[in-house]
Amino acid sequence: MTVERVAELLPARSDAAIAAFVAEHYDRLLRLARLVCRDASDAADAVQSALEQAWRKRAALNDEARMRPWLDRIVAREAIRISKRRQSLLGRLLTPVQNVTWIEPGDQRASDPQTFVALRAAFVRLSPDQRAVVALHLHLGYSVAETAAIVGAPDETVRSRLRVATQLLRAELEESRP
Amino acid sequence: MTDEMRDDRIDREIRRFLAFQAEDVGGAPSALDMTARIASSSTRAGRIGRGTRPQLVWIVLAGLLVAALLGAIAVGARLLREDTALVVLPTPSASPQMTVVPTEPLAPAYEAVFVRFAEATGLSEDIVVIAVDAQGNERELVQLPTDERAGAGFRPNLLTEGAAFSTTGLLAIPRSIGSYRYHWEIFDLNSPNPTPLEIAGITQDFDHRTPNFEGNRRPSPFWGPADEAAIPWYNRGLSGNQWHISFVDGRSGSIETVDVLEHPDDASDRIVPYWAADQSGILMSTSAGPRHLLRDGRLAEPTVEFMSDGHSRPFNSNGVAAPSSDDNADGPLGELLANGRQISDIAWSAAGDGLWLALSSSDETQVVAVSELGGLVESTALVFDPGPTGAIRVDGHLIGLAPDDSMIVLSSDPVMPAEVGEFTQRDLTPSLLVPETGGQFDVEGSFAGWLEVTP
Repeated sequence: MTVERVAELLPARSDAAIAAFVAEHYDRLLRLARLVCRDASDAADAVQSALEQAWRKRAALNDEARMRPWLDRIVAREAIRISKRRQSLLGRLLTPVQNVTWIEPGDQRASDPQTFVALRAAFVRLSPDQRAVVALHLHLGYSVAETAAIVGAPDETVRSRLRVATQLLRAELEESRP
Repeated sequence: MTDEMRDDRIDREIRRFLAFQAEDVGGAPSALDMTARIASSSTRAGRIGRGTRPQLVWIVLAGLLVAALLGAIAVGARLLREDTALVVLPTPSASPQMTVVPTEPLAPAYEAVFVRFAEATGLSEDIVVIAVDAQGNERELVQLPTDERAGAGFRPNLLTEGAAFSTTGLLAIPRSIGSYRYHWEIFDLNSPNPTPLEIAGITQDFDHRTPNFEGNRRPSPFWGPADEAAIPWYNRGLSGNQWHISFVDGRSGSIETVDVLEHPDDASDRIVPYWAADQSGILMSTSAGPRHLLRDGRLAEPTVEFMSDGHSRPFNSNGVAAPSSDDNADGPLGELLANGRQISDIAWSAAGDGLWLALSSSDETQVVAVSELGGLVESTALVFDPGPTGAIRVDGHLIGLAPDDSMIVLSSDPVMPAEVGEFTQRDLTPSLLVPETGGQFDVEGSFAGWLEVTP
């Protein structure tokens, strides 16, 4: 959906501005949150919460060029927070069983289904902090220093998380090979 | 195929998988739906509700029912205090009208309190105080006013590191008042809208601030009985630093300050974050042994018990220092040392008859373990990856121990090898460990103390 189309559907000027704001960033933020969270509902919650915060505080951000990393930072942290809450004992008790969309070997969406099954199983086992740095560094292309600034951790901690996560993913991948 | 080529291929596959996984957002609202939600929230105060999940409705309803029932019981028992944002244990009071039935008292439970910055908004950041329970669940206690508290232009979390929280809900926190200077303010977080109580007469340089009593760092405020805080501070004199201790009433802000004539700018003379149980002063560790620093500034032999405020516990209630690994090579610690374990920190257990140890291993597995020697033997472990820096091990530091030893806050600091000049890098993310369950949670922010809550 285009910015113009979304704006047409909302009558008030401020709503149109929100629509443009959401349309510009929503897809990217949802994908980032989805990598950190274990399901799309949590990812949407994280993005909603982040966009609300960002919309309220956007005036404080003087430099438009910083908008993207600023939003990514808010979303990544919110997604980590929600994921950790889900992982807690109370969270596990209160969260109903999710409808798992598992990739079966015959799933045509995956180019190499067996590989993807293995990677998905390994990826779910990573901690939210590890999934966040993997998503930011390997998927969105942030440098280690930028990733560290986004998640609010020292560079070395981010390197460590990346190393542990990629080792696990690689090991799972190697084991899945016939 | 070389290892490098294989790694590249694997990395490409991982990236392809990530792109694939990121697209798996079936069931998420559309951009239009999201816009409607945010537009809705922007037109009313407070936070918007999230997308409701049908499966949760029954759980929520059941939860509300249970909460209502518990609330009715609590009100009936007159356990709730009016106008409080936190539920803390009420102070027991004698009531001649009541028939006292001897029962097993409820043991208090604790939550670890951390102070951190909320999301950055340019140069201005709000400070958020959170409590974390033994399951790792975080809840926000309060968000404090923004503006100059951020200390714009300085290290980002400079002002949160010195924060100290009492078990009854008082927070002492430094506020920037100009270039490299700050003073102390106290917030009563029992109030729904806490306002700062400025402590007059103490102005410090930033280098006074001291996180968590680790190592030889200088102490920040520590809370004692009856909501009174002791604040160590100094000003610079021609002949060196002139040290003072201020005894501050956390409710009224009244302050008494004494000079500390002979101390304590080196490792052998330390202000220890313990209060005398009778409020007559605080504990000091000196080269001549433990001393009782009285309110008039005199030092005396300790004849009363001292109470830790729940930070690290290197001394017991008699002021006796925990044995160091150097002193104990032939004792219970000797076996650990003989197995190649490094003991990086030692504290007394709450009962005073056991020891908490933060251990680290020097092999490639790099595990920090926390164990209690003495009565119960509990342990939990924090796996550490040395990363590409080539750290030789990680040192664990016991930042805080809950008054009942149910939880521990630990920092794990990578130690660099001797060839680069052995030094410890401080990891700014503390971990909350729960020995009974083995739970361990990374918590962003600076540890400030423990909140006593109704079980």
